[in-house]
Amino acid sequence: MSKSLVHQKICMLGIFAVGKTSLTRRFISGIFDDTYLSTIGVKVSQKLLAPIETTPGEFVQYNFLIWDIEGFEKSSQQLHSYLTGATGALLIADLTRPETIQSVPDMLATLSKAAPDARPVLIGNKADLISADSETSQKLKKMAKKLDLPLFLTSAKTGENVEASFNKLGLLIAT
Amino acid sequence: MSDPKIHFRPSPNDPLEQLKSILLTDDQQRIEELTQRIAALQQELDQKDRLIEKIEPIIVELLDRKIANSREEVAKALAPVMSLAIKQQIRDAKEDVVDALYPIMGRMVSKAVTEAMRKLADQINTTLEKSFSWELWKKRFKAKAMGVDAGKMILAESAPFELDSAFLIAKDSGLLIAYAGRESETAAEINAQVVGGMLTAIKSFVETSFASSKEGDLEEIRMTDCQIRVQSGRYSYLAVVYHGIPNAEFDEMLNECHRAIHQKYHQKLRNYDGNNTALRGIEMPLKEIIKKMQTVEHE
Repeated sequence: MSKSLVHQKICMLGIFAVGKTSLTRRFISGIFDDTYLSTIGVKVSQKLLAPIETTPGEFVQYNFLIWDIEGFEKSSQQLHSYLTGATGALLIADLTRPETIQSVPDMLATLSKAAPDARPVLIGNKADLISADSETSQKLKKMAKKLDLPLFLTSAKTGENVEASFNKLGLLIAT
Repeated sequence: MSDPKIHFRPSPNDPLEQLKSILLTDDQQRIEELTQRIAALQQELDQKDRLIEKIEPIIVELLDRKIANSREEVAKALAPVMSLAIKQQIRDAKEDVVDALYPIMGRMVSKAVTEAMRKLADQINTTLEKSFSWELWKKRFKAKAMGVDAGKMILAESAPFELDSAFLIAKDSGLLIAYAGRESETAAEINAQVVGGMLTAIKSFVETSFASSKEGDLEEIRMTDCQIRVQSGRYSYLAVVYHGIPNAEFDEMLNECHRAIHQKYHQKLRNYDGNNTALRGIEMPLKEIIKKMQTVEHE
């Protein structure tokens, strides 16, 4: 059996207040704080994932360097440089604000341009505030299907699907 | 065009023709063969692709011979298109050209920096020699006794130098490739991966926001009690944290260290994917500069 440790740059992308920092904190430290703190620039944190078996007897363990980037407004040179070199990204929409879903194609295009090899996962956050069959959830599911993206409805508050979405990203990078 | 073939058709009743036929049969055949070969050659000359096919295998040899026989003539003939060819190559394969030039450029720059620092040290020494303060005389005697340059010693004494840590970071992703520290703390203990990431984010922010050209690189971050010197390379950058005023050899040493790393691990750095096992041993030059600077400090 062999195991290799591989560091990966992962970016959190979404317009302001969709819960990027809360999701990161929940994933890294398992805590949630509903005080809203706007991220200025970037905050980098890291978390070691459980080993993934790539081929029989061969394991890879990812150390995710998570770049929590300030709210996405539009593609810019600055954002481009933050995304460069990323191998994965969570594109986050807020299930309580339908307008945040509209920015998903733009975010995906920006990510593809800056980091063509990055694997994206779509997130509908704040699932604790809305029912799974709500109009916004359905809209996001349609968007995920259209853009061929894996989708997770998460809650940074309850922790629902947070770990699963990062693990999915690990699996996508490994394959 | 009329048929170039010559035909002798002897008349059975003409004795002269019969004689001609007997005498010229061999010549007639040779002329016919030659005519066919000329026609075939003409055809090859007229067809561009076939002509290229014929000449291609000998072109390199032809050039080799020509260069061996008259190098100057070839240079004179190629000179007018050389600059255009280089420009074209840079436009089409910028990465390859930069890769090829990088080791040479590093040496040129470090040579210029070393020369500038030597001149500065000379200037300081000249100024010191002209002064008569008792303290300066004491320092000069001390330097002489230690066998070191007085100017450098006074500079170093004014702010003792300490090299704390060195980080080798992937330029695009900000992932930490190697770390070496003065204290026994490990990379994990000081959260070096996160430091590398944040440093990259800051570097990227400053370069994007303030650089006047695309090539502008952040070179130094200065705080009250310490500084971070940044040296950008092709695929990685080296960041060292230090206190005090470094001596003249410091920049040259960093240059040399980073250049050696790039030379040895060039291909692996180019294809770096976050897996540090392929780069085992890359931290050694960083450990060496930390050790070397501690030795210098204690001299």
